[in-house]
Amino acid sequence: MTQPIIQIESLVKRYRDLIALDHFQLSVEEGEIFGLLGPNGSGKTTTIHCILSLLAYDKGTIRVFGQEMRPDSYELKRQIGVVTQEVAVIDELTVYENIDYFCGLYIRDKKLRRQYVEEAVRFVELDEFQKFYPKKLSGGLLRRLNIACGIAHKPRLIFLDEPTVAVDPQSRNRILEGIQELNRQGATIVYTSHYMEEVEQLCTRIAIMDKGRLLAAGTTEELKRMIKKSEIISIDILDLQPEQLAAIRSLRHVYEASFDGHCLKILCSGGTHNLLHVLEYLQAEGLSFGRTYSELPSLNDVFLEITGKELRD
Amino acid sequence: MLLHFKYSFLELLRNRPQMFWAFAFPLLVGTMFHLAFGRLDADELFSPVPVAVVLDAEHPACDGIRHMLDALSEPEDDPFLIVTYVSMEDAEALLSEKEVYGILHMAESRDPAKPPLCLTLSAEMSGDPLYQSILNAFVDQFNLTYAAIADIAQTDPAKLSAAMESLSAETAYLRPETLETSSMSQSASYFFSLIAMSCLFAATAGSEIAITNQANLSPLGARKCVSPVRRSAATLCELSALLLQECVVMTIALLYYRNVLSVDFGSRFGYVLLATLCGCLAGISLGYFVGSIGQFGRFQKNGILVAIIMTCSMLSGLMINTMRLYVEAFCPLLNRINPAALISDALYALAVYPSPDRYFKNIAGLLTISALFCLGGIALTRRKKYAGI
Repeated sequence: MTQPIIQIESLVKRYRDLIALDHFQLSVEEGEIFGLLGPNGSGKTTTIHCILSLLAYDKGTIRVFGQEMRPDSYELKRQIGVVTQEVAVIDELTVYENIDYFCGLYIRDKKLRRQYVEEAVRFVELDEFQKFYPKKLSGGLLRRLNIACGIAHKPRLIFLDEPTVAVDPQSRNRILEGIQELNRQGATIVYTSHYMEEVEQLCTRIAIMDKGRLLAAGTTEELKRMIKKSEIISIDILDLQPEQLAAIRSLRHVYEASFDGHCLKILCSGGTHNLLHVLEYLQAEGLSFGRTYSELPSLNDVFLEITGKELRD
Repeated sequence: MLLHFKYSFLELLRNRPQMFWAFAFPLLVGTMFHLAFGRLDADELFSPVPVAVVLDAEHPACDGIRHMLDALSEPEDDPFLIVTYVSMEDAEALLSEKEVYGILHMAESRDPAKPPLCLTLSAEMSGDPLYQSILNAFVDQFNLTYAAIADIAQTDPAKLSAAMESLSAETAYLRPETLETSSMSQSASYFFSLIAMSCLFAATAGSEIAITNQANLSPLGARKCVSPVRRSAATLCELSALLLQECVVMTIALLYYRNVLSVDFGSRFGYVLLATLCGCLAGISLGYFVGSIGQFGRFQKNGILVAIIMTCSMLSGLMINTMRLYVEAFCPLLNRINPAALISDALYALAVYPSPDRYFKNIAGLLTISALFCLGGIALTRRKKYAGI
């Protein structure tokens, strides 16, 4: 069995009376795009800062590439790239100079650095903006520059801390495609976000955290299988009698049904062809119905069921 | 590291507000100092005192007084007086027209034992009262000496020649010391304090470097901290770039002071530059040290620094040029640890003393302080894990 690229055990971090990380456990395997999902203040960034040895923690162990991470672990740091949540570039340097400067902190060879910088510029599609100063860039372009500064040195492990905050949809898609490309090139990625759609689309494995605790971890499918809800059926109906609603509730695999504003909403747990069974019942009752939807649970449903609150609460 | 230095220097050069203030501060304040204190030097210059003289040819001391006044008003020999021999009426007219500071005339009594010289001053004289005091002191001294000689001549004529010799000889109570420049102007000392303050103001940029290298104070600091570069080495590169910038700025300021504002720095301008460089180093390292302390933000740190700089500058004589002397009298240690005092004293020593001993003592003090601040800053930040970000 291969050694995890990141191994966190029983991590505790307190800010005075506030417990930011509460016996947090995590394991990231090489080659993954690992998503840390949680609401704002859940401890995602604190976790990353602890891994990077920026923050002192109270208890627990963190190993990166099988070694303890310390502020002077320069060889480990050389293999890590960080894209911070806030844009961290130098306003007085151009796009190219910024990437060259940050790449230069990792790569000493001038020729190799130039090659890497040019690749990074192309990767984030900032070719036309190489001589621009950061202040002249739009929010999306600035985020892309921030990413380029963090990944230009071709690290094996990349931390991306909410890289798509305040970014337009077009830039967001480009960023997400870029992250997948980095992963295809061999980088292991730890991605934090409170945008569940992004995490669901991007990550091969996800950890859901709240109030500094790990609530669940696994692939999207594994997480969804952890909850009771497996299908949500919505049907537009003009009228529905209480006894008919009770009959629907008694259908197999249905564990909750509600009728509100001409919309019948049915939650199913397990089973197959649940929609078909419901429609058969409605036809048998002679009820006419309109638009019909069947949805699979989202990560928000997973989060809602585990924590009792919406992810974006 | 060279790349780090290059980009740090570029960053500083392109930081327009910082560049503007780095240049504007010493140049503008220097110009204002020149306008405000430039007259100090003009006021300091002594010019011969115009005086009207009314002689009484029948007075026994008349010839002697005339010889003495002629000697004192000799134009080739750094004259003390500008003498106009006139009648009493004309002398009064000259005095009332404020053409002269006073009238020297012979005493009415022709008794050789009585003081022969009198002085008439005008209460309306609007000129410098110093000149009237000088005339008064001159007449008093003359009459006193005359009376002493007359007394000896009457009582013991044998000792007259010895007495004359004694009176004409000046007793030296002070050891002569050659000065680098005997005419160091008063305004120059204000400029020394201004240079000291300008050097210390580099501290704000030094503090900025400390802040942008700490993960808990700036996102840029976080990015730098996760890179595999030793923080101390990276910081020293940035501080060196800042030092280079400050040296360029201060060299231009010094050339402006010397060539445009005519500030007299003496003949050893290279030493002045060295003192300024060491002053900038002390300022930058002070800023770096303060910037490295604690978690409080940029605004508070700059506030603390400005307070420190202004206090140091005030104690070095920026507002009152004798302040450094008072401090030296009551708490000399303060002058040894105050970088502004060390800078201005180094420049003062350079302008006044031919021996560079005192200058180099100040330079050594500045370098020691700089080293302590730098080491302190590095110790506070190296390999640091933060409690909170």
